[in-house]
Amino acid sequence: MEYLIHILIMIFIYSILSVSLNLVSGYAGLISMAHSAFYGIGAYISAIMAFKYQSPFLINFVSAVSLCSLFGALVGIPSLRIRDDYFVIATVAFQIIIFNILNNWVSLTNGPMGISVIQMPIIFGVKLSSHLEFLILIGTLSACIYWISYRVVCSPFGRVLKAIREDEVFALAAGKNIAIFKVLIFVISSGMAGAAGVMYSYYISFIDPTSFTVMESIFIITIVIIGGAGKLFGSVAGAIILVLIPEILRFIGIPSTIEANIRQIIYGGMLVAFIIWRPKGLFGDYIFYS
Amino acid sequence: MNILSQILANVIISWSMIFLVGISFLLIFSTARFFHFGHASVITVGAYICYYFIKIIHFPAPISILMGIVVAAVLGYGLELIIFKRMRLNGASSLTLLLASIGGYIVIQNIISLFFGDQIVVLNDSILFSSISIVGSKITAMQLLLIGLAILFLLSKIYLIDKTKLGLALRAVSDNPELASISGIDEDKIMFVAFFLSSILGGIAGIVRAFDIGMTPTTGLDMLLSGVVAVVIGGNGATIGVAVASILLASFQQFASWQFGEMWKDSITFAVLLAYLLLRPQGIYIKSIRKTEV
Repeated sequence: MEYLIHILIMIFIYSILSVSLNLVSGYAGLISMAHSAFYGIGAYISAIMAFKYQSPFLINFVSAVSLCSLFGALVGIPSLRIRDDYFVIATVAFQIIIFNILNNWVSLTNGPMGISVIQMPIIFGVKLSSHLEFLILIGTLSACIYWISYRVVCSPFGRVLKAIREDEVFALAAGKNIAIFKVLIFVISSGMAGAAGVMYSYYISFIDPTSFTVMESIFIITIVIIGGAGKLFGSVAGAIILVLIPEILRFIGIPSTIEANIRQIIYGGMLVAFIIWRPKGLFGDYIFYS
Repeated sequence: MNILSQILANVIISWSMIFLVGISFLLIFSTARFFHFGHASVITVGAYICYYFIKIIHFPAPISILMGIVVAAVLGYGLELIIFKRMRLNGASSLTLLLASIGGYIVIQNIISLFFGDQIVVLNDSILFSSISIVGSKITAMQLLLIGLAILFLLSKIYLIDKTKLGLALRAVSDNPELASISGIDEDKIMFVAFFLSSILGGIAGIVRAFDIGMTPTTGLDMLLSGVVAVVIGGNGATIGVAVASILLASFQQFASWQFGEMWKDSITFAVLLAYLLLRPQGIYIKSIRKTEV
């Protein structure tokens, strides 16, 4: 039972990450390889605040999400000047710089040793005591985030995002201020990734920089592509599939020493296979073209 | 004086490596027009095959090095043949090519991890490791060889691209593939040349690195990223631009290592890249990279 709860929580965390990345990549057409940087920033801010100042969960949550949004704006603004492949490189650069800071700024982040936060969140005086209660919390949060994303993409705002993705020059010619749209969607998306980071740090209760590498970003974009860019429930489906695959490996008895490699080979292979034979992903309606 | 000349030597060594990887990446980038991150796996595979032949089945060094380069070249062209050719025929964009390339990298890097483990492997060779003192700075013979290779490839790349018919065809395909194919240039053949040459260079870079400092399955990506930064800063497709950008990057990296410590090297590299992309996105060669200016 505990095992099932763990898997469900991981599925929820990755659903939040992939749905929020889908807003940027699937709807606005900007491939970002910096998503796990926001995830990491969120996780680290809440962990540092909980560890150093013993501040309550809600304050940590709000400050992590708002700071992540701020960083999101920081990455969103270059997207106005830099296009396509170069934007991918720029986000890789941001991701690597953030990882480097998490890894090397020892006085703040404790470096490669990581930070332990051993406390469960307390919300309005109710202390969560078991993982089941945590599952309910993160389930509610994911539902909220899915709902917000759904409202975003179904609104006129979402329509403009799709217009930017299909033809940026046309959207500009139609009188849309694409700068505001791009930066705003980055702010929204990275705030959500930050929320996932907060949940991760409270759930795992120990974080170190290796959880927030560029490979993790690639994993999240793989979920988006396999699930389908431009469809929110596709990202949820992708998260379920890609979180479950390593668990299946465990059941068929792959030794744990090579499990991480096998897992990565499988998702790398799936990424290539999907890009070649089904670039739309399982449920998507958009393939990345320049 | 001593420390300055040592830093200068380090700058030259690190320039050679960045430049070598940079032009090997550039060959593909300027011909196939996408960011081929999978090239990192070619670099790594070259080094590991060489390691396998020397350390595990004890072949003499020259044959091992040759095998490393050959396998790297075959792998590089294999990626093009299996993945990218098919995608290009279907009219894939550079973004999807980039994503497929990353997928390929992940697969190959993890296969190497499976077989060789994640620990560092070093191909030390006593002759190549003896350090020589040149005006107060220590430099190993391997590093001298690396510098020589970089200068050799700088000159031959300029000659190849600017003076030969093959270079003309490479530039033609990179400028306008359709027009090139109308003029009777076989695009597949040009891609073969680009991927093959580039992978040979990549394999050499990987092997030199394994001899010099050592190799882990992820070192290839670190090396490639520096090269990519040099290519982006250098502008689109100019060998000289990459050479100048590599000098710039190497100086920044060495200065940062000296002042703040080795660990901030990556941050500096990518901060330089971000600053460049934001302030002067067209690189040294002017070409618009903003969509709204098309």
